[in-house]
Amino acid sequence: MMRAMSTSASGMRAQQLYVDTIANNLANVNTTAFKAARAEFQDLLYQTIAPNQRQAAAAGIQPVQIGHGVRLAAVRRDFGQGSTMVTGNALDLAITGDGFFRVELPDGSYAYTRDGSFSLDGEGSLVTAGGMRVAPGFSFPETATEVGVQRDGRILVRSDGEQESSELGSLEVYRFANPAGLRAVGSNLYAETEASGQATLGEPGQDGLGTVESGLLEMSNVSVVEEMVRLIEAQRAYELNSKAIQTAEDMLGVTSQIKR
Amino acid sequence: MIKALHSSGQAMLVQQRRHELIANNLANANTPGFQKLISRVEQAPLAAVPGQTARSAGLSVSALTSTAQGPLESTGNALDVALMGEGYFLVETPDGPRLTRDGGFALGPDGELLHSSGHPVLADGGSLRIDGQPSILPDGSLLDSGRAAGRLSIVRPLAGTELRRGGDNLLEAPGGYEEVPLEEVSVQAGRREGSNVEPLEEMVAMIRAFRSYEMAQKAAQAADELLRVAVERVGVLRA
Repeated sequence: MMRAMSTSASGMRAQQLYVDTIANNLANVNTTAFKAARAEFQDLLYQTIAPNQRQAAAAGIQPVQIGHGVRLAAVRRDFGQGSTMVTGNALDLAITGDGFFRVELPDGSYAYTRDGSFSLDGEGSLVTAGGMRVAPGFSFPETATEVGVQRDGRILVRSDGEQESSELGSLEVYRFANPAGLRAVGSNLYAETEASGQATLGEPGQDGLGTVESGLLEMSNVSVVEEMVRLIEAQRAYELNSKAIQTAEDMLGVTSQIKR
Repeated sequence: MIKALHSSGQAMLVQQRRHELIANNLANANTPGFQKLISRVEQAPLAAVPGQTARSAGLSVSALTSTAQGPLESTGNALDVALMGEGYFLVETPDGPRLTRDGGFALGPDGELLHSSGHPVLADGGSLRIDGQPSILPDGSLLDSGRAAGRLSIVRPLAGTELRRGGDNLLEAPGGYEEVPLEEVSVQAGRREGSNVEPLEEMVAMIRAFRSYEMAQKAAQAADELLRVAVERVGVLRA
């Protein structure tokens, strides 16, 4: 009886974690380039209850395996492409493919992002919405009047009084063998891990890396309808598990009433 | 009389086991590729003792793995695969090969195809590495950026043998397993099989188990009552 209770409790805990990830997805439904996450479960260990020797011999009864519930296996992120939104801002960039922009963190290490809502800071550097420098580092001249980003990542700048625009540099676009292994560090940034593999510099537009599109932003890939369906699913599963606990409790009550 | 008490107790224990199985099914209502365990109460035939009347036989619970197809869900992930019909994917663990229907695979740090338990998935009897863009065909073949990389091993336990569970969405086939013939294999990439637990069935089973438990308790109480009467009324010396 106690086993059924803890089994169902593990089920309720699992559904709670499921709801937690759904809530986070829904909270980020309008976050630029947010990737939906999903909790995944595995069954727990089983205990084998063997029939007594005589019964087993007489009827060939198999031992029965009773499980102990469920546990969280992983929270996986779906790196599918989000829809794009037209902003018209030349420094709003979307990657249509598997690529990531590289940004430099204040401590000198690197993180990766698909959120291309870039702007210029006071020193003329290209920075993310969070103020991190975009690799490989660009310094825009103060006299720049027109900025354009090509689909292959080249940044073109035309200064005041000039006829032709000149190339300032190229955005670095990286890819990972297993993006699902990336670690989310907040602020729309991901860090490289052993599971994701090393970031490899790619050529925009080649091998599915995607082109850099100026004037567009990638929206989150959260599907609200799907999340709502999962939310209902999780809530009902939570209820079912609580019923199993209630039943176990009722059975305990019945047991204690055998002796009057 | 004591025997009746004993039988009732055994019946209660059996229903308790059934409820534990149901609780585990419900806890795994969202576990990918989970196959529910269906409990069955069995009466062991009497080991007839000559010269004695039949008495309570030993009750026991057995559990069968349901191989019903679970619902498929589109995930869009190229490495999520759902098996249609019978069969299991094969996973290499330190304790030997294990079977699974949880097809949520991922690539490890060195491009190795891994099961959600972190163990390598077997293809053509060995593990598999993918360096480029993976894709999976309906016959279970894996492509690495369009190049053939191997075929997922898809097996089934030998007829008449039961599977044993070890957690982590893995099953052991102590009776051995065989390759599923190629023409019977149907794999859908980008989709994932959910748990085949039917909440309604489990709720009904739970009510039945609970009521049977109550009835067995009443039988125990009745046996107890008869004993009490026997002790208190029979053979009372009247002055």
